[in-house]
Amino acid sequence: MPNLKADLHIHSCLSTCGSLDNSPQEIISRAKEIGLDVIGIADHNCTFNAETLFNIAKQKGIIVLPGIEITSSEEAHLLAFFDSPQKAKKFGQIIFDSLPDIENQPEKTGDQVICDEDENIEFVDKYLLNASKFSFDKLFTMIKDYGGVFIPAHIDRASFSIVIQLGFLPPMRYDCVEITKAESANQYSEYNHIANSDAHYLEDIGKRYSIIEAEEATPESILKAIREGKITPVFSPITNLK
Amino acid sequence: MKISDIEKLEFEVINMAGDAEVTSAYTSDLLSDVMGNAQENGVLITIQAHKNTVAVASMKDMKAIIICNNREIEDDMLDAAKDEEIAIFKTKLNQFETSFLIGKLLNA
Repeated sequence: MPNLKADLHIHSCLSTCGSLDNSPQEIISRAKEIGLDVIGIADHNCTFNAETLFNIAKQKGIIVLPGIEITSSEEAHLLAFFDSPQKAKKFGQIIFDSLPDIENQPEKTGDQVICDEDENIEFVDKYLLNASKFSFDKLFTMIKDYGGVFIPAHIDRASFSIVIQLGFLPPMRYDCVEITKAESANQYSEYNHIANSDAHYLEDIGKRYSIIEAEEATPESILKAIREGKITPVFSPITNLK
Repeated sequence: MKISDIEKLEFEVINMAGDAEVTSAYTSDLLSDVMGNAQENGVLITIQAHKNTVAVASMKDMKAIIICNNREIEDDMLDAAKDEEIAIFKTKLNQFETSFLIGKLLNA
């Protein structure tokens, strides 16, 4: 049974606050270099780079969980992961379409870049860091119907967490909750915990991660292990991080 | 009204940036709502004290942000406000009380 080192909350060059350096190729090289076995790709409210990352990772011998970081109508961030890039792509399109029609202003917030395996690029015009029209509760049902895992993101942070937006964590059957500090574990002891970097820049990948005890090194098996709580969060950088 | 008129309300000055004319105000704690509905050259009244608030204010060409209920302001919010040249004030008043005072200034 492999113990997989996983950092599931990583943004690519699609996330406005990120950097153009974090192209799919660069993210996979960096993840491999620092010794991660699994990464999750979780761009804001879309999945346009997920399939590219999934394919590159396959060639390089690491696993990508295709996913998304959704902003609910309450402006709470949550993570969803799927076992195939096709599912992520379909689901991501529903979320993208549910964003208001407001244009990105690249000179103020940066470009939102789709990048394919040959590093051909394309820009997304609609502003991605906006709120979907779907509520937190509705998204829970939608993600479950798509066979995904549902993880409230950085619930112990002061911005865009469900706890800050509502004042409490609604009691729901989360697959786990993402926390950023070891001290937060006691406060949310009724749930399983996961730690991830939330990296928007290459150098931040792996600064927090989790050990996932999956039966096999496959997306299906990793999602199953997350549902079963076979996760140990690590709040310090992965050892090979230079 | 001007940014310096806000200063006269005895709010704590966190970042001062020029003295532009302010012609509107918007009160909201949902940034997507601000994105959709706030007007340019406005002041934003909110409790969301983080750098994303500055990003939204900048995209909407707003001139100042007033943080209510004495919410603690994160360092990266101040850094972003300096970069974007947006004034930030902090007050112990709540959003309603602050809006009332700003409303009086705008109508003066």
